[in-house]
Amino acid sequence: MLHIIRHSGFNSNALTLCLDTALAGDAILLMDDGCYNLTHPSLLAKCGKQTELKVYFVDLHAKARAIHTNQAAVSAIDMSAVITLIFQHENSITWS
Amino acid sequence: MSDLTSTKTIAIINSQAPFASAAGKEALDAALIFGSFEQATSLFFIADGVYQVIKAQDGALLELKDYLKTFSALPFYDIENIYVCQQSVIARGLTADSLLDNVQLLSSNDFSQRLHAHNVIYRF
Amino acid sequence: MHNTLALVVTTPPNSNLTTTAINLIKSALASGVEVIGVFFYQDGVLNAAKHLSIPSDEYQSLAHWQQLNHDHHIPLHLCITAAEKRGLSDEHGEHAQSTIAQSFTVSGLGELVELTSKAQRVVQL
Repeated sequence: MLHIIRHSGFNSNALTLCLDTALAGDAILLMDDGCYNLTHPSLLAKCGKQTELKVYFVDLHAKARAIHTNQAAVSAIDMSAVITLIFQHENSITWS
Repeated sequence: MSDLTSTKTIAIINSQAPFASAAGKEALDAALIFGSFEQATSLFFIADGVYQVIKAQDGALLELKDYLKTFSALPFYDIENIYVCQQSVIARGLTADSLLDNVQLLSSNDFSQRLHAHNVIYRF
Repeated sequence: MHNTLALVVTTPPNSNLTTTAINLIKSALASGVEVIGVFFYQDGVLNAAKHLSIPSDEYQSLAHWQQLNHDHHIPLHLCITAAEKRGLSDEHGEHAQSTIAQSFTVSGLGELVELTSKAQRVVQL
């Protein structure tokens, strides 16, 4: 399953709901304001522990917001890779 | 409806409380249409969405058309699977007794597993 | 292999989230994915408002939607119930004029069922 997050976890429960329902093998895609979660403690804690959970973010969306990450566990991708992710996973939830 | 090329399992997640936004009503409208086209449809309630399935609410007191009454009638629309996240219920100081009779309380893990088993998931 | 995608758009026209949805569709097309339709629901229906007037130096979401429909024949389906609740009207006649922009198709939730059934992948944005 692909979890799409488009809002900041500092201001909405999108990140919490995603992390509560994600299972091993799932992927998380941070888009739009979802990129603010790159520095969210809950996400960082999960990245450290659960390596079966892949985390991606839209590079352009983070760059536009001047959000940076030095986490090795998260991958910067472009929109065409987003399309690939959508078809790689059986289903998706947008937690917005 | 013309030739539906495939029958998919549809999950509709409700994550917002019922009164302040139209999300719950619009989610239910969608669920009933999926059900009426014989698509296997399940409803999931998590976070503040669990406030939608509490007994004895009275939207009419606030001029709200009471769409919540429809939840009790969902089996007539062929929607039998109504799942509620137990963790969200407990976190809000609610108990199983406060919920509608035809819902199933699931642990976080079971809730999540059921959700994953659906082909298409819409969240409201 | 031929991939098909349907989108459900619930964000309003003056949000950058809608720009992302449009860009995602463009990327899908560039990747050879067939976008079989967009369904506008909830506040997403406002994307079809004909009288939307956004300053010319800002992103013209309506023009982008119409271009996707015109150049790539992507159907833009509007849930009319949700639209009417938000002040849009499909009325025609002497005293009424549709407030729904060209290129949008007035539909109901049945169309969402159809798109959901037909597309290999559905994404809600």
